[in-house]
Amino acid sequence: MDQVKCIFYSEFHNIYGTKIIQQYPEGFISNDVFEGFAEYIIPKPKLCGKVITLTAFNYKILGYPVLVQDVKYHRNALLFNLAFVFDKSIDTTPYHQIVRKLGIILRTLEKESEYLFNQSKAAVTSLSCTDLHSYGQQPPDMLKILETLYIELNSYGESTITIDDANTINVKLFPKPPDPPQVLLHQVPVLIEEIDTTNESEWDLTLLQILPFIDGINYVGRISKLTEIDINLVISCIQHLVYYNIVKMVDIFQYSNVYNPTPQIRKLASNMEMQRECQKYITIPGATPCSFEYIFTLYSSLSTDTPFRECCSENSLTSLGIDERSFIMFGVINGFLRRKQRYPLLTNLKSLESLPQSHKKHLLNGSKSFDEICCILSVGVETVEKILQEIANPDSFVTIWK
Amino acid sequence: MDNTSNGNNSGFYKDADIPFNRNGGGGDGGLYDNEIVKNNILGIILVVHTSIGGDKLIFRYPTVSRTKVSDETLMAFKQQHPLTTLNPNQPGSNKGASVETENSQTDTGTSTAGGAIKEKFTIYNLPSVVITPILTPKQRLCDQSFELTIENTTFIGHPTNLTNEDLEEDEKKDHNHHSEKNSDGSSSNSNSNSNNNSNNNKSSDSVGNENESSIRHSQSSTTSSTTGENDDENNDDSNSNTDSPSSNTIRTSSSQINNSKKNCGEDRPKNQSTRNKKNIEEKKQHQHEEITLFNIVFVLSSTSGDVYRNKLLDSVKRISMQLAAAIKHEQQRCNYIAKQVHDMLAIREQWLTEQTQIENSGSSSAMPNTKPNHHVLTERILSVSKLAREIKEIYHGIKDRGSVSLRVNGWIGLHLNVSNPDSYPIYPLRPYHALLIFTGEDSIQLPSYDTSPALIKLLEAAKPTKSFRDLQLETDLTLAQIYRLASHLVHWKKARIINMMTKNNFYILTPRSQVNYATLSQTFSVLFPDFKLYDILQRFSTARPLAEHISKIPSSQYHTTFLAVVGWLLQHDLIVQLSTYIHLMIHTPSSNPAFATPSGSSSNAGSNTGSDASPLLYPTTPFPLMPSHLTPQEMSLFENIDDNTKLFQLFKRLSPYFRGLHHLEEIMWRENISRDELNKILKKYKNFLVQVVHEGNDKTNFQGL
Repeated sequence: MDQVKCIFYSEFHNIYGTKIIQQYPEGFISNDVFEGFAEYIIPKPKLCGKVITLTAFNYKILGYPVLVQDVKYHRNALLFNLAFVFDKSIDTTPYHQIVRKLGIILRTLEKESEYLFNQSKAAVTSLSCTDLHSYGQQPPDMLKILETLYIELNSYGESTITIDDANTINVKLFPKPPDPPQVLLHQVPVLIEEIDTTNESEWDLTLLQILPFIDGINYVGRISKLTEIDINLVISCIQHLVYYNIVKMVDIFQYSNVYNPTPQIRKLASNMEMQRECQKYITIPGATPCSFEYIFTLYSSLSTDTPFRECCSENSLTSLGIDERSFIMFGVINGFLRRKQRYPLLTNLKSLESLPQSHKKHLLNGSKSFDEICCILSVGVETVEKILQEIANPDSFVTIWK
Repeated sequence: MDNTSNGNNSGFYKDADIPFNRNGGGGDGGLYDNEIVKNNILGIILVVHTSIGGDKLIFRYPTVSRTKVSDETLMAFKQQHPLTTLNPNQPGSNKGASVETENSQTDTGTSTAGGAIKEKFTIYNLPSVVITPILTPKQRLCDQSFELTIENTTFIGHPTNLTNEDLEEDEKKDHNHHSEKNSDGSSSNSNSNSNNNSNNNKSSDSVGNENESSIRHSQSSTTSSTTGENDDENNDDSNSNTDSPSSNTIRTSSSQINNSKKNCGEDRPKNQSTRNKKNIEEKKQHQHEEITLFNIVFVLSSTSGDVYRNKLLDSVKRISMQLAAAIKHEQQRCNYIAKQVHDMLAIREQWLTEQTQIENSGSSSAMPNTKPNHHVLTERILSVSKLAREIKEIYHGIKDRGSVSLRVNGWIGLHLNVSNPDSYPIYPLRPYHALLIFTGEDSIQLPSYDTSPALIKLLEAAKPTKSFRDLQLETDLTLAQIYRLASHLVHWKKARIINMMTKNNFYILTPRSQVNYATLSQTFSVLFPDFKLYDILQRFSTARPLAEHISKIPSSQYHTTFLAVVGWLLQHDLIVQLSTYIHLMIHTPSSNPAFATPSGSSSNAGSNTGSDASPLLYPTTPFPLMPSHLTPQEMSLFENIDDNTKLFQLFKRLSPYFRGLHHLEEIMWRENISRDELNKILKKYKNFLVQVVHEGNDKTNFQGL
């Protein structure tokens, strides 16, 4: 559990070079070893203000060198780094924010109240030492900070340290989900978790305006139009919701769509909780739910490449008490159904070579689906084929499904 | 002689090198590797530490995407070469510039202090004076993997010391060796060669070791073949060998010395005095500029949250270790890197001189448009330096294909591969699988010599329509050996393992694939002039059995070509195979939550079924293809419908496979039954069995690792 092996504070000394001033646990890094990687703790000024991780000696050393310039320092600059040491197998990315924040806090402290500068002076005078340059003794506060950080981060994953009346160190480990994929205009956001907006003041204004329109039907472009909010704001807002796993993006639901099962359907077959949820989700309110075995058979019947419309009329889903849209939505959100999309593909792909990238004919290179093209050209599905034919002229295009 | 050494050196197809990579069922694992590398690798940087000039960046590929030379680089260059770069117009310009540079440094130092860097190439494009010192670590960090991450960019290298210590050690050994030999009197060549071998083994590290010893080996074989001829000839022979045509005079002499040292077995004592003299000379020349350290650094962009990151980093570490060992060996053999670096540095300095001149004139006439173009520099270096071209080849090979084979300096065979030999998808190889050998650019270039005969046999026989079982009968190789050879080909991205093509196979276009159809269409039309790619893609838009596709092609003469087309589509991931999986679904009202939860009292319903702890109906298995046990309800059903027929017995026997994990072919193979028998079961018990068609699970399994 103890991920952080050591925390140390290092400064550049104008005579002795880069030195560890304080470390906790003490003696973890010997001076001898430190010299091997000191150049990565206090690097060139240009590399200051960047999170630097060195993997060496079976450890990962994560630091954030900071440069503070002022005439009061030797060589007019103070270079310091509060660095963390981990085992080399550990993913240190969650700690990036922490070292960055600590570095910035220390810099602020130094700028506002000369924390680092004063403390070294105080320490020196308290020892009534005449040599002002000596960093041999350090203020206990720094060691205290390191110790607290070490203990609290390792035990609780967060730490709070009060420095003075105005400054408090607050750091916390956050799991970092992967960056959300791009949100496209034609996609439909679906809420998969409730948002409690009773305390309105806490919420983003744009989000509050958009939220009522996220109903699983409106697509992003339409939400922008309905709310009269700039499309980029809407996209960024929805992207945030996707990031925090509150919203999932699905395609516009149409009866002409073709849906296929994916390997994820095994999860549905084996997970009873998911089955129960599925029944609840797809049943029309008030109706008697269908047996799960039958629902599963219905999902498996999508294996053939037929439009959903046919599946509906064949099995008359509504009469079974199943909401057709929810039936599909549940599958898509949980990833066990995938929509087969239509892509126009030019028959004469060679003609694209001579055209600039911005030319409309590139829409037909087989990487843009009809949905995307509709949004790009802002035309309806009915007219898009005709327009594309004009674009393709004098060549023609075929439609492929994938 | 070169040929013999090649033969020994090329471990490409030899059993000894075969990593047992069970890249099964479509080899999607390898594909995934490729994609990660493609998105992550930014470039390769060669830095050296020279005894006089200090740290130097020699070559960066691809070209930095900056528009201008950084002020820092120019400044540093001007300071080093005050005479050539003196600006006649503005005598004080240097001073002014230095102040400016400092300012800009502090600016960037503080302005980026806030947030993380998002731009992919920011760090890669840093000026050379900033980037070089951090890539040439202290001695303590040398001769081991080097890993440094700055913000979103990771540098991986294998910094390698090239100090004189090694040479001196060699010399000592040489002396010992000579005394040994003298005491031996007229010792035979083979004896001295074996000594030579051990000598080398001691002084070189593990990978270099292999290469080196194989070269030794080749030399020994030549020597033994030329037994009786005098030693001088041998010496000449090896010397001429090492001479690369472009070598300049100074270095040639030293390379000969190096070489003769290695060939000390053939050295006669009377040569020694001259040799020592030469050594002194050589050392003198070294004092001018000696490379004490080199580091070829792979630059990767590090996206957080990538499961494969560590694997990729390990692979790149392995690759750079191999590369470093090869280069080190070449350096010791014939001063390779020293020569190459010398050439590249000359061009670089010439170019920088031009740039300062442009800058000087530009600052006087205020013409910002004449800013330098880094591409010119890259092109010039590439045109002159072999090593630069090798770096380029490695970059493109690794980025585009995930593997590259080249011969460093035309001598050391180097086979680099991003795939870990010890990682493989969980899906095992099966006798019903087939080997799809790649065509086109990725096809195998068979060396004309020393290829394992078994491999040649396999390559001749393998077809996507032949299962491994068929191949085993045809080639008379054991299944285990065929698997090994196949895995080897998959590891080196020369083939893929697929389900044998049968008329029952279903294929669809790979979902969501974002490929460039335009370029693929071109290669396609060259390979298959009788077909049109768009037409083929349209045919595979809906899932149909292969038999139906073939029946739609009127002329039977094209049927074989069509199968080749299907193979090509599989090779390029344009299509994927669909498989049928079976789920056992019994309608058991008592356990059906639907009847217990209409009013929303789901918690009660859950406890009824006894699934408090786990929501799973049946436990997931640690191995993806482990047969599953029946639940009590299912058992009772089987008791109810037991009609004592053979078909029921078979149904019961197959029931562990009805969890949707085993596709039809796997079930048939496992229970050794025919498709007809299986179909009978599916028909008779269709009330309990649900068939679902979707693509195979190989990829998802691999991703889940």
